[in-house]
This record gives sequence, C-alpha cells and structure tokens, in this order.
Amino acid sequence: MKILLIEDEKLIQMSLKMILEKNGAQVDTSSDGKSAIRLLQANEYDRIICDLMLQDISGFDILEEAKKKYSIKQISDKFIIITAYSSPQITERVKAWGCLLIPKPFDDMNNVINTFLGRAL
Amino acid sequence: MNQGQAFLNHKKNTTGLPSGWSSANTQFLSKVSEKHFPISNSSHLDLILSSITDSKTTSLFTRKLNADISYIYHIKGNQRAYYRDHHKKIRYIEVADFLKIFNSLRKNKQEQVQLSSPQFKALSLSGHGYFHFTSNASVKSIIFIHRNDLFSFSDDELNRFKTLRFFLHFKFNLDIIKHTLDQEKKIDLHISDFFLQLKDDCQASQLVSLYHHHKFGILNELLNTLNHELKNPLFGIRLSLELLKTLSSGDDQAFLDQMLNNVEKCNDIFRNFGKSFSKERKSLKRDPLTILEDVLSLLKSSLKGIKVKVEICDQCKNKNLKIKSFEISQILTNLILNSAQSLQQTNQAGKILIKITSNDQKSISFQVYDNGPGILSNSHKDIFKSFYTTKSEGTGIGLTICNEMAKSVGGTFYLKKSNHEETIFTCDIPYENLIN
Repeated sequence: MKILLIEDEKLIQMSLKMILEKNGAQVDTSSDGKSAIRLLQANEYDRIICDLMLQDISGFDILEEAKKKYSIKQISDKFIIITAYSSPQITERVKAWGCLLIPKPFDDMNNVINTFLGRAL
Repeated sequence: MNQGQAFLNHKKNTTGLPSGWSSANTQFLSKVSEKHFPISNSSHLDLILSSITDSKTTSLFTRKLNADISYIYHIKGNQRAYYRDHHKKIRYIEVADFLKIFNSLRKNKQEQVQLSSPQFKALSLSGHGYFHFTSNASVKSIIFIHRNDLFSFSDDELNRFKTLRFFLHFKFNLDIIKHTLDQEKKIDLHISDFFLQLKDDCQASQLVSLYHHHKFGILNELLNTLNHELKNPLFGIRLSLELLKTLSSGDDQAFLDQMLNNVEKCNDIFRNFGKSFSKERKSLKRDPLTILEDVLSLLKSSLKGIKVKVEICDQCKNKNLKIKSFEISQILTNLILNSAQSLQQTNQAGKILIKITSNDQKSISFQVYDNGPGILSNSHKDIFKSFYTTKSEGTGIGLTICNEMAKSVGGTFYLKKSNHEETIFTCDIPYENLIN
C-alpha cells in the first residue's frame, strides 16, 4: 500500500512513517502543503493522511487541489484528515468532503493504524 | 429582583462580561443618556468626571497600573475645552487642539498612543497614554490614563485598563442621568427610582466581578492556547516514545514508561484546567479530589517550599461524587493562594492543610488552614470588603470572590479563626446545591 503522509510536526511524521512501514506500507512524507501537492501530482497513492493545520496552506486547500486529479468519491476514499484542532465547524467541513476525521492525539493507536491501512477491524 | 437588577439582567450577556456589564446594556444606557439628558452645564459635567476619576475604585486601578488619570471635555458652543490634568490642575485648551486630539483618536481607532506625537502637544505630557472617549450631540469627552515611561503598557495592563474603561463609561452615563434628575426633576419618580437603583447596582461589587471575570478569562484563554499549541508536539513525543518502547527492553522500557506517564500528565493538566476555569463549562461537575488536584497543579509555583497536606473524607474521595467545579475551583484557588502569599511573608516553614468533608450529605465543608502570621483582629471585619488588602501585591478581591462564589451556590464563607499560629477559612455549601 502506498501512503502519502502530510504532517508538519516532525516527531509525529517520523513515528507514523516508521509504524506504517513496519506494517508493510510504503510511505512518502511531506511537511508542507506545497510539496505535498507536488507529490500528489507526480505519484499515485492508495491513501493520503493529511494534517489540517500546515505551515503554508491548510488541509482543505490540498483537498481542493486534489479535485484536479481525483473525483470526489476518490478523495473521500483516499484522504484521512488528522488534526489537533477539531471543532464542530471543522468536523462539518471535513464531513462535507466525505473524508474520515481523526483527532490528535490518537486514543487507540492500533485502531488508527488499521484504519490508515484500510484493514477491516 | 429589584428594577435595576432586572434591567441589568434583561438581555442575555453576549460579550463574555458578567451579568450587568454587557456592552449592549452600556450602549443602551449611552443612548438614553444622550437622548433624554443632554448635558449642557459645564459644572455638572466637571462634577461627574471628577467624581469618577477621583473615586476609590478608579484610584485603585490607576495605582495598580502605576499610572495617572486626566480628563478633557468640550461642550458644544464653548470657546475652549476644559482639561483637568493628573495633578487636578485645571487648564483650558483651544477647541482646535482638542478636536485634533479627539479626531485623531476617533479616526485611528487607536487607544494606546505616544503622547509625544504632535496631535497631543496641547496636553503637555510625555510617555504613553490609553484613551477612552465618548461623544454625543452636545459633549465630547476624553478620559485617559498616562504614564511617563519609555515602555508602552503591557497586554496585562491594557486588559486592566479595559476593565476600568468599561466602568468609567458606565458610571459616566449613569452619573449624567442622576445629576440631571437631581437638578431638573425632569422625569417622574418611578423612572427616577429605577435609575438611582441602577446606579446602586453598579458599585464596587460589580467591578470586582468584572475584574475577576477578566482575570479568569485571561487565564482560561492562556490555558486554551497552551493546550492547542502543545497538544501536537506532546503527541509527537508520545508516538516516538511508544515506538522506542517497541524497540527496547528491560530497564529502558521502564524509563520510557515513566516518560510516557509524564507526557500523559501534561495532557491531563491542560485538558482539566480548561474544564475548571472555562465559563462555557460553568455547569461542569467533577469529583472534589480531581478539582483540588488541578487547583494545586495550577498553584504549584506559588506553593514552592510550602508543605501542603490534604485531608478528604471517604465520601468526598468517591470519584462518582460530581460537584460544581467552576465555583469550587475558584474558591479553593483564592483561598490557597491567599495562604501561600501570607506564608511567603514569614521565614518559618510554611504549612497549608486543606480539608474537604461531607456532613451526612447535608453539606460539604471546604477548609483551608495555614500557619502564617494571621490576620490582625482589627482587620477581621474588613477582609471581606472589596479592594481591602493587607498585602503589598494583593488586589483585595480574593475573599470577596470566595464570598460571592459561595453565595451563588447557597453556601456560607467565613473566617473561622486567625491568630499568630493558625488561620482557618471555611466554606460550607449545601450538598444538594453542589450536585444539582
């Protein structure tokens, strides 16, 4: 499984990459929105794990950009949004895209990793 | 509820200010004052402004800010504007100079200014100033605090001044109405009573409530910001530690577990602080021990070097006993902080004992003991008065807040004992009021 992990907190990015790779996934990482968009345009991913608050642009901007390449259905299947700043408004916006929203910190790590890998629980 | 109170409470508070201080009410009052009571007599206006700037509450705030207070006003048609400086010296300034100041404030919407700027030349002041201006059809007035200092006011000082400014604005309009009533007997007795009552409702206790609200509002905002900003990095640390744990064994794992526990503790502290001090979660209920633990964590730096002992009866230790967190957190915070501050004045080993006991499910009693120098017996009757303080750094509102909080849940708050060996404050709150 090929995953793009977009996360600007380096420790979270490194740890998640290692955990996902241990579980057999191939992981590309990006710490900012613009390089994430370049990776998205150049490669095919089965899953995109995207933090909402990035230094340059927001996760919603990346979703908008992804519309150029994927259908809404594909976006909602591929993208999982992670955020430390969840609020009812953010939940609503993510829901409108049909994407799964996982708040940080993760309560149940195994469960979250399985979700990232698309494994049935 | 009296008429004034009813008026003060008649609109839902939307500004986050305490009941009776919403900006909607203030604006309403300004309109009433402007429409029905246009002031045209200079001596009335001066009397009002001087009584406000010289009042005890205003003096307290400016003293805390290490600043001075002055005012200027201009009544339409007058040749000059009236300026009373911080030495209470009366001067007159040209209308053109006054308008330069007034328009500059109104146009730039700047509240903090450098007094050395050309437009403020007529004031003959230097340093920084923080202004509040009001105007209606006949009067333009400016009240301002100023400090001859190289540095501008800090955010904390500006917040304090905003509190004061709100009070000044409210009192200004009320006093205009009252003076007009006194002088001209313009309106019937019923409305007259209403406004006089309204004025009484706006005395120091309201200001205490407002100041207190600001204090905890800032604290809550700070904690929420910290919570948001630290949540992500803390999560990164947790993830890395968990990962390292899978790669290590034996002693290393125990070490990593300890680090993980500390990360979790940081998370808990931020989560719980928000819950205790947030006004939105005023109805939140938590068990007494958790409330106390959070308060003690918050006051950790103030309690450095002080031996703190906690005694909680079995019934209150029950995690399922959920009591009102907002009121109790604030009562305990103020009482423990008071004890810590009084112990810092002594050289002896400081001790604080906090007792929480349930009296057969009739009431819960919160007691804070300390072995500080005690409160002089001639001050016992004054300590619950707003702004009364015996400490150089005190605001004099801590015990007032405890009293108000206890009253708000139908409880009683009192000084049980104070001598050179021991001081005990007690707060008894009916059990039913705490859990419902």
